[in-house]
Amino acid sequence: MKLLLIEDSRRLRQSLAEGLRKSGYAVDLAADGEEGLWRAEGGGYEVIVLDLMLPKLDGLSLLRRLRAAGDPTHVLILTARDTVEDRVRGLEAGADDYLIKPFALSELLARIQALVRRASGVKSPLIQVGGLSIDTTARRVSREGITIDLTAREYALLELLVMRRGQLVTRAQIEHHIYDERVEPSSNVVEAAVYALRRKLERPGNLLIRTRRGQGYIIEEAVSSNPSAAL
Amino acid sequence: MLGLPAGLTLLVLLSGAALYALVHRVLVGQFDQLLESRARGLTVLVEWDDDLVDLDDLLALPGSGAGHDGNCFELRAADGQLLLASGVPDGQTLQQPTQADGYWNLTLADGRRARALQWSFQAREDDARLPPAAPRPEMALTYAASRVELDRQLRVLALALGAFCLLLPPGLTAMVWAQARRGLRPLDQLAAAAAAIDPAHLDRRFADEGLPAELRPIAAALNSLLDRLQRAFTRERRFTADIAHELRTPIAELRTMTEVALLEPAGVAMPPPDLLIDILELSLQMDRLVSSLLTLARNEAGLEPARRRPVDPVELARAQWNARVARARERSLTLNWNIEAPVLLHADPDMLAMALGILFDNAIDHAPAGDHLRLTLTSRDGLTRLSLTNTNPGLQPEDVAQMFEPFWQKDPSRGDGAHSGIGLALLAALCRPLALGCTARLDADGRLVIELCQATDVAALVAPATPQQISL
Repeated sequence: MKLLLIEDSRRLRQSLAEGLRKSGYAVDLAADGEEGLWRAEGGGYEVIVLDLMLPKLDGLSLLRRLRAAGDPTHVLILTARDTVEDRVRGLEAGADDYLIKPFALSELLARIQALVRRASGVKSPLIQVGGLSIDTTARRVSREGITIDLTAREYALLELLVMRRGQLVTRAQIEHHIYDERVEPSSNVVEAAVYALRRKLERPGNLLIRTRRGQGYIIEEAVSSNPSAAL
Repeated sequence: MLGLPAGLTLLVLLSGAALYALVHRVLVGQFDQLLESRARGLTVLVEWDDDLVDLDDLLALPGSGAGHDGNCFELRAADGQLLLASGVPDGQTLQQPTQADGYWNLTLADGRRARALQWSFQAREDDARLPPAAPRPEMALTYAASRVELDRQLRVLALALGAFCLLLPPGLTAMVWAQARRGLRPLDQLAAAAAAIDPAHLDRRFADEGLPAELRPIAAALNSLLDRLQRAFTRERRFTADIAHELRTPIAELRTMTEVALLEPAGVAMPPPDLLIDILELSLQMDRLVSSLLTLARNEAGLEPARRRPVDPVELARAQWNARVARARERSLTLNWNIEAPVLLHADPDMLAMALGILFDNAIDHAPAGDHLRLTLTSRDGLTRLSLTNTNPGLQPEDVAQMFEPFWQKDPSRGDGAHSGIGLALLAALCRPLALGCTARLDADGRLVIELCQATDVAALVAPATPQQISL
């Protein structure tokens, strides 16, 4: 899952990006409003985390331009402006969520995850697929109660495929969503990641991720969500 | 509250007493005139005829001997011998105790109160041919008349006046009170409306419709006061919101950096030095902000007493510049000293040094690299002026008007965290107790000029430190 973080505070931008990456997200960064708008217009982000008081172009103007252009990307406003009027203004400008600084990292991650689920049309944080149980809040995968140890990138790849189950996910899309601007994917990095994931998740005769040669990958099995585990 | 009725009662009682005395005097005077006219009428009837007193005419009066109209009289010779008595109760004499002419009161033997007049006269000469100066005997007539009617009139008068005097003060007080209440009702409504205005409703104003003309200026003055109060509250709320915002950002940075560092398994490695340096810088940044806010608050509350004395501003400015010269060199900034004449300012040296430091910091932080700063000191027309000029690209005249507002920044993003926008507000706050004017403008070249100025006769400009009570 790829996020765009638009934040002018260097320290917050860097530490937040590190925290998000450690949590399995690919993160692109922008330090001012103009750069943020340029990146956002490039598209491909699950969620945009947006500060309001930005140099060059303020956050609200950026958001309005984005919405005026028909961009449906979920936007979470992250700001120190805490009045009711500020929050209403932000939501009315097209934001999907609003979080006030200072904040708990866990709350930010939960809100981002909720926006990702909303983008995929999945409401429950607990997804059952191919005998696997995927807790999107805890970012944990288990089979029959036994946790399967995945790296952040492996989990992100699995979540991308599960969220788009029934749809073909191309190699380029995987590269775009799993790797951010810091990483230059090598020619076989996607294949290697899928291979590693299959080794950890699949059992003989139980193929979860199917390969469409020359096109991409797909999880075809119907996904079931557990409503009782909803947030 | 009791003063008005008591004073009114006393005034009415005194007036009533004076009126009673006046009417009493008039009625008694009229009664005495009546007595006198009747006595005169009787004396005319006494004649001197051939060396004898002729009382025939007097005796011929109807009722003579039994009293006339219920009144009585005695006629006596000069030696006191009673010549004739009419209507005098038995065993009583009407003779005046002092034997002198005049009026007096007496009680007749039958219990009636009466008033009497003794009148000395000479009997009229019966023979008209004799000269008027012919010797005639002296006699005295004492005439007494019942004063029952007079006393009744005086009692009625006393009762009427007494009742009037007793009832008038409370009645008048009640009327005045009712009238005053009616007159003060708009004032009460104004007071109630004023009492209902709290900090959450400072947008309310007093309508002058329906108010008496006398109260309209008060309503206008109160509305003006509310305008000023609302502006001050708005500024205070914005200031508080700005403080919260300025503190939230570094706290958010600290918290996030710490939480992200804690994502690493415990004991794996020491926190990276960059993280520790960032945390230290954030701590210093918050420390600077809190210190500035405290100084600003103390100055605005008048809690930082200025110990003013003559100080050399150039000496202080050199010390402040020297402390910053390394930072200025990093940006290739130079300072041109334009001192027209050595002059002293009347100021607290520590506060003035802090103000000059803020001036230099502002110029060093915002002037473009390679700029030439200029410090000017002049003393003309009774004013000492110290100004610092530097280039400040992008600054517009409308920006200059807001520069001394707390947390104002040309770029509101505050992304670098190095500037909070509190410096110039603090400079203005420092100048106030020093009786220093503090202004900013753009000169003809568009360069920013921040000027501190002080009147030569600075004592006249020093504001009182204690609140002043308004005498009404």
